[in-house]
Amino acid sequence: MLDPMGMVEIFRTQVGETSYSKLNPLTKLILFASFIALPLISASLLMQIFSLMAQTPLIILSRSERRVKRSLKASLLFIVVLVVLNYLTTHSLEFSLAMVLRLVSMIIASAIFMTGTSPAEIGDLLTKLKVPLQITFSFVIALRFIPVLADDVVMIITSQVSRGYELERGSFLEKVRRLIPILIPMIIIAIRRGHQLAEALETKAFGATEKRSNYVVYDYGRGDWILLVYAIIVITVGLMVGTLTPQFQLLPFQY
Amino acid sequence: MIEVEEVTFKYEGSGINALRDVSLELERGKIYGIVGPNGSGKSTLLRLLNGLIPHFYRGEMKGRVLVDGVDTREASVAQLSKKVGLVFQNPEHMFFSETVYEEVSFGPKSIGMDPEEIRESVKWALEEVGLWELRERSPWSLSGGEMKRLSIACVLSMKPEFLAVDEPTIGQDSLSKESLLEIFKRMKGEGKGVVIVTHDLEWLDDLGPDLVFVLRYGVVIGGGDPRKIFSDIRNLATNGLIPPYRYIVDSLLEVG
Amino acid sequence: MLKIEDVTFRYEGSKRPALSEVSLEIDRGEFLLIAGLSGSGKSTLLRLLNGLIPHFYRGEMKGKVLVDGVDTREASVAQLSKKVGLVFQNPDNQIVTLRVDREIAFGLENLGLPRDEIVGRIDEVLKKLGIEHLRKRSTAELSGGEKQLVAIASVLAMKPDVIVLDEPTSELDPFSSARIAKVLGNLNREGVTVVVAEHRLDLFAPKANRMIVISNGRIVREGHPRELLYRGDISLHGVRPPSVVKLARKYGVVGAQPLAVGELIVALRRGVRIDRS
Repeated sequence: MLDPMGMVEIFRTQVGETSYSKLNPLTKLILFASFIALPLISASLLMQIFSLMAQTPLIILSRSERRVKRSLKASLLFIVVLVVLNYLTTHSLEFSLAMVLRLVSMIIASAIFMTGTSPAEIGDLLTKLKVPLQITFSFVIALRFIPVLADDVVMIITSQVSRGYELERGSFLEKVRRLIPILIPMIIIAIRRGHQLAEALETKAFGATEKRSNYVVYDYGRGDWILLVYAIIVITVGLMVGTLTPQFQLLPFQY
Repeated sequence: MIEVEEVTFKYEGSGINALRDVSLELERGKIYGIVGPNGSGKSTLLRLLNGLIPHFYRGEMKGRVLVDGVDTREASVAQLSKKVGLVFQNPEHMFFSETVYEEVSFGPKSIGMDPEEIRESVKWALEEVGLWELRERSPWSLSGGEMKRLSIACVLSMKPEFLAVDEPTIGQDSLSKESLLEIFKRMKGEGKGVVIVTHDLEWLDDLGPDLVFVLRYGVVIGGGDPRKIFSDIRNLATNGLIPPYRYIVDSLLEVG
Repeated sequence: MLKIEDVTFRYEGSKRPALSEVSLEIDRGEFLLIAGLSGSGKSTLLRLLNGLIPHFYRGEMKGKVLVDGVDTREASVAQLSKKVGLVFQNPDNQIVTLRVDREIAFGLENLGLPRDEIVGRIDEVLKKLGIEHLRKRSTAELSGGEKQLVAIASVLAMKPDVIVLDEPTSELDPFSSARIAKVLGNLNREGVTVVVAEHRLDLFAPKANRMIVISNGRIVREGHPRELLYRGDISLHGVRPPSVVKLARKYGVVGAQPLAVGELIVALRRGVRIDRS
């Protein structure tokens, strides 16, 4: 069973205007990286609680509570399995809890980054990090065409199903063979689209000059500096928390 | 007969109903036009007729659709495709065979017709759309108009009693539009029910439908004799539709 | 300004030429409508104009195409893009970026224009087409008609002398198609040269001041749309006169050759001759 509307929904690229989304993508990337690194500094429960608290201002700035909630809900099963497994192997409730919070913390960091950063910005970021144009451009083009091709797939499957085609029938080999009526139109259509795209790029002088200019420029504003300092403080404090000896930690995990 | 009884449908993840309280009856031997602006629920209505909704598209469905008395929820899309053939807007989404002939025999094979019957129905379907001579060609080598007709043949070969077609004239030139008119009129003559979803009222007027339904925001806001529907040019225009020119001229002349 | 001189072109791998001995001149300020069935050679003709043929498509080409006196074989497609802008049939396959303003900027970035200039041109072109409200929208969420307007805008921003469109409305609903026709009509009135291949003669014939009919790779008719569409013989080439022409005949309008509904109404109200049969 497919859910075409849902599939397309995932690739919505509209990013709401928030104080977070208006930041320089580089700042967002630094924040994202910091909050992925922070919970990894130490496995202590204190560290995990600190990293969760340190992220709250970002959740508010990016207004991503809903996305955070949704992401957490989606990973609920995974989280539960993780707690149980951890507990079974270590018999330490604190450790299990710390591991879960570490995961939650990283999920939140990703959710914030994904809600507040458009794919186009990620493309720009790659360019800024001196990734060659061909690669960043392929990335943007892929994002541009994923929803189009997802629509194609839905239309191909519905067309074939309306011709009495049943995908889920027969043995494994039979099933593989049954993919042909879906795969062939998909490949041919993708090739055709690619060809027309190449034509369009040609007419728009793509690759015509070495000195390609940039329409989108990002300035480094006050908010960016503030959050950059914030990231530095958080990481510094995190490193300090990480060096505390176990007995000084709030709920220490004993090795 | 197809009976759509008070159907309300909402796609999963969508906040609004794609269709609201839609009731229609479609009979054999008639041509129906379903018109409406983009997003009015026309395609959703079409997907109901052969069970793609609710079997394939997930969502919340109220009411029911009966095809010859059988609730579409009780039958598979494959079973329903013997009764209701759905032709999609873009023919390129269905072709995967080496020859036109093989392409047309895919449907009959899928629904388990016996070989003798397949031969007969493929020949009939290809003749019906005027492509019998091109049966050894590759589907991809055909012109746009021929591809369109091939997509119709691919569905006809399953011998459905209803033919439901989504936007047949999109991307077609004048000659192809004319041949589509002929094909659908002939289908009606052979006792099939023909359901056409379209924006192109000029062409629909040439087709001469028996009944036209107007959809907006998922609701059937009008239905009846095409003359009645088409003469209400103000209503059509406010619904994002361009009335057939002869009706525009008539109504403007009456005003002046 | 554009000159096709006795061009014959055959695509690689194809037996028949797609165009045979075609000669055509397009002047500044024209609105040229190209009619003809699918596969008649319309697209091939348009690809000649911006150098996609012979630079992008391989094949055998005789004759030459001159853009402002420059042979298209001597110039790259990129150089030609400043002179001739091409808009394609399927808007989905020509939009390359994720946001409307970025899409319009794309070609300009490729030309290496300074940022201020790009910003200025985006403002200008969005205003010209009346789509300022789409500026920050995601390209994936636009309707078909909006996508096509954005595609037109992105080509227009490169300030070509001629804008060439290959069946721009064939994937669109009538309402959006009418909007595209209107936009092109307005652009032409502002001095942009427009060349458009279309099936929808009802919408485009009233805007055009010249029309050619192509059949089997040859230009078979040339003239003012009124003249061509009121002459009975274009049907021979599969081109059907639009409904307004049929209605004008049905009502027996004499002394006027209306192409738009408005013109027909005026002609009928003037009572040129109304014979309601």
